[in-house]
Amino acid sequence: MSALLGRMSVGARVFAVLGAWFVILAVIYTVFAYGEWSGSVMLVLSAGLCGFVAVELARDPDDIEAGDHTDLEGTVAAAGSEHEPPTSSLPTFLTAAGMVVIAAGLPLGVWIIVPGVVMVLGGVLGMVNESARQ
Amino acid sequence: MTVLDARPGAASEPLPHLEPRRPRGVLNLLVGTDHKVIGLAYMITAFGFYMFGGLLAMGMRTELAETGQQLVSNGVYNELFTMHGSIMLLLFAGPFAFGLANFLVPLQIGAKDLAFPRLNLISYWVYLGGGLVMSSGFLTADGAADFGWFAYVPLAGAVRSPGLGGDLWLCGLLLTGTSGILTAVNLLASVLTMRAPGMTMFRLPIFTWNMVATSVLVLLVFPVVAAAGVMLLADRHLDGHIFDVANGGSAILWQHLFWFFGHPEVYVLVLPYFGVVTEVFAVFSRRPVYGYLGLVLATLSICALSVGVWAHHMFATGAVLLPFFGATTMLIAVPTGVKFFNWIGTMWGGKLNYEPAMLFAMAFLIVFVVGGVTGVMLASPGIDFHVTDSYFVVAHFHYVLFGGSVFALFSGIYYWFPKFTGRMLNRRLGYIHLALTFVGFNLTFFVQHILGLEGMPRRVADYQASDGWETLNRISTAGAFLLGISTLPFLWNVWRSWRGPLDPAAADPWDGHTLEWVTASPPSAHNFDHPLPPIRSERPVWDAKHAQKTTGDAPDVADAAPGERSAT
Repeated sequence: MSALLGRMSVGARVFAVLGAWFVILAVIYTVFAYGEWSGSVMLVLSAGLCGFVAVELARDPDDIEAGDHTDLEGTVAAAGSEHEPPTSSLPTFLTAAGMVVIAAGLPLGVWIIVPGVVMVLGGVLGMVNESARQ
Repeated sequence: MTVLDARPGAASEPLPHLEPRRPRGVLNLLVGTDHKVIGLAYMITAFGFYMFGGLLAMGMRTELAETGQQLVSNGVYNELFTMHGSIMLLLFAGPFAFGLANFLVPLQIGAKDLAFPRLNLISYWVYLGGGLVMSSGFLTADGAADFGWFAYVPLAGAVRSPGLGGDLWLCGLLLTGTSGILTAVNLLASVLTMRAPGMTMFRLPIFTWNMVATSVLVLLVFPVVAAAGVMLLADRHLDGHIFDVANGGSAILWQHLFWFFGHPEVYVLVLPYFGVVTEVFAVFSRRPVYGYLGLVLATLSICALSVGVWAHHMFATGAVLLPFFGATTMLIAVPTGVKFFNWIGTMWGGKLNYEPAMLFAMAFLIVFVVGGVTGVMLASPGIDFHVTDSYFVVAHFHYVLFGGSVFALFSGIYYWFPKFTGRMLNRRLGYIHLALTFVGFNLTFFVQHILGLEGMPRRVADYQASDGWETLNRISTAGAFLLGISTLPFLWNVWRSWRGPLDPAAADPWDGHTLEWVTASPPSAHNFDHPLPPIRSERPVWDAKHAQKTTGDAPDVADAAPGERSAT
C-alpha cells in the first residue's frame, strides 16, 4: 500500500486516502446502522468519487507533475505565462443568465423556461464559436 | 496547463505579454473573466447578502426584545429565520470564501489565472442569480420560504408549505449549489495542475491548502443536497412520494440527505477562514507557520471526519446510531485542537504586530474556542437531548459560524485589502470596528447559552413574561443592534480608502510570505509582470527578502518595528 501511495502525486494521495477512509466509515456504518441505507450509499459514493479522482490524477503524469520541480535555481515564470487568458466572453454570461432564467422558470412557469433554454443554447454555441476562433 | 521552465537570472526582466483586450466598466463586470475581478464581485455580492441577512436578524431580535408580538406575525417571523439562515450559510460565508479564493489562489500558486476562466464567470453569475431567486420569495404574495433553512419534510412539502417562496428557495438552492460545485472543480484543477515551478504541494500557502480541502468537501456533499432538492421539487410538483410516509416514502430520508450536506457545509464555511487566520498569525508574528505539515494534515483530517458526523443533528429523532455519530463528532475536536496548538505556536516567541487584521484573528481564536467547546458538549447525545432546539444550540452555532467565519473574514479583509485595491484601510477605524463587533457579538450570543439552558426554544416569535427571559433577551437584542452598527465604521473605512484621497499601498506592506505579495497592489491583468522569486519553502517572498536570515544564523524574528510596514 505504501509503495503504491509513494508512486502517486500528493494530490492523488490525498484523494486515495480520503477514499479509503470513506470505505472504512461505510463498512462500520453499514454493519451497525441496522438497515439505514442512505448513509451507506452516500459514504460509498463519496469513496467512489475520491477513488475516481485519485486514479485519474495518478494516470495523468503531465498534470500531476506541475510545480513539483524542486531542484530549481533562480527565478521562475508564473504558470500559464505563455497563454493569453480570455478577457471577456459575452456567450459565457448568456449561458449563466439562461441557467438562472430556467431555474426561476421551474416554479414561475414554462413561458419563462423557453427563453432560458434559448439563452443557454445561444450561449453554448457562442462559446463553441469562441473556442473555434482561438 | 503546461508550466514554463525556470529562467535563472531573469529577476528584473519583465515578462513579454500580449496586452489583452479588456472590457471596461460595467461590461467588464458582466463578461470579464479576470479571476481578480470575479473574486471582488463575489466578495462584494456576498457582503451585500451579509447585510441583508443581518437586517433580517435584527428584525427577529427586535421582536424578541419584549414579550408580546409587536413587529411581525408568527408567519413572517418564520420567514425571517428561514431566510436569515439560508442567506448567511448559502449566500454569504461560503461565497465570500470563494471570492477570496478566486482572487488569491492563482496568485498564491504563481499562476496567471484559474484553470477555467469562463467556468469561473458562469459560477459567479449562477451564484448571484441563485441568491436573487432565493430571496425573491419576499416579493411573492405568500412570502418567502418559512420552513427553516434545513427544510424538513413534511413541513416543506406542498401540503404544509404550498407557497411560491418554498419553490423559489429550492431553485435558488440548486443554483447556488451548482455554482459551488463549478468553483470547487475550478480551484482543484488550478491547484493540482497550474502551480509555478518549485511550488510543490507541501509548499502551498495554508490558505490554498484549506481551499483544496474545502473544494473536496464541496464536491462530496453539494451534489447530495442538489439531488435532495430535485427530489423535493418532484414531491411538490410531480406527485412524487419520495419523502411521503403515507405512500411508502421516508420523511427521515430528507434529514439524512440534508445533513450529509449540512454538517460538512459548516466546515466549508470555516476551513477557508482557518486558512486566513493562519496566514495572518504567521505574517503578523513575523514567524513561519508552526507545524506546517501538522496543520495540513489536521485540515485534511477535519475534511475526512466531517463527512461521517451528519446525524448528530438528528439525535432527537431517536432513529440514528448514537455511538457512531457521538464518537466521530468528538473526534473532530482532535484535529481542531491541533490547529489551535499550531496557531498559538506560531505566535509564541514572535514579534507580534497588533494591526486590526491580527486582532480580528485573535478575536476569532477566543470566540471560536467557545463554539468548539459547546460543540463537544452537544456531541454527547445525553446533553443534546436536553438542549436540542433550544437557544443553547443557537448560541453554539453562532459562536462556531460567526466566530469561525466572520471574525476571520474581517481579519482577511484588513490583511488583503491593500492587495485588492492598492490602498490601505484606516487603522483607527479598524480598531473601532473590532471593538464594536467583539462586544456586540458576545452581548448578543453569550446570553443565549443561558436562555437555552433555561429552556427557551428556538424558532419562536414570542414568550411569556412568567418565563423570566425578558432581561436576557433585551441584552441579546441590544447586542444585535450594536453588532449591526459595527458594520458602519467598516463600510466607511472601505469607502474612504477606496474612493477617498489616495493612500497608496506598497506591493508588500506587511512583509508578507506568499507569492501574492511579490506583485503590484493591485496586481496587473497578468498577475505577475516579473519572474517569480525561487520557490524553496512555503514562504518564498519572505525568503527572497530576507535571504541572509534563511541562509545564515540570524534569529527568525525580523527586526522591523510594528507599524513600520503600514501606511496608516
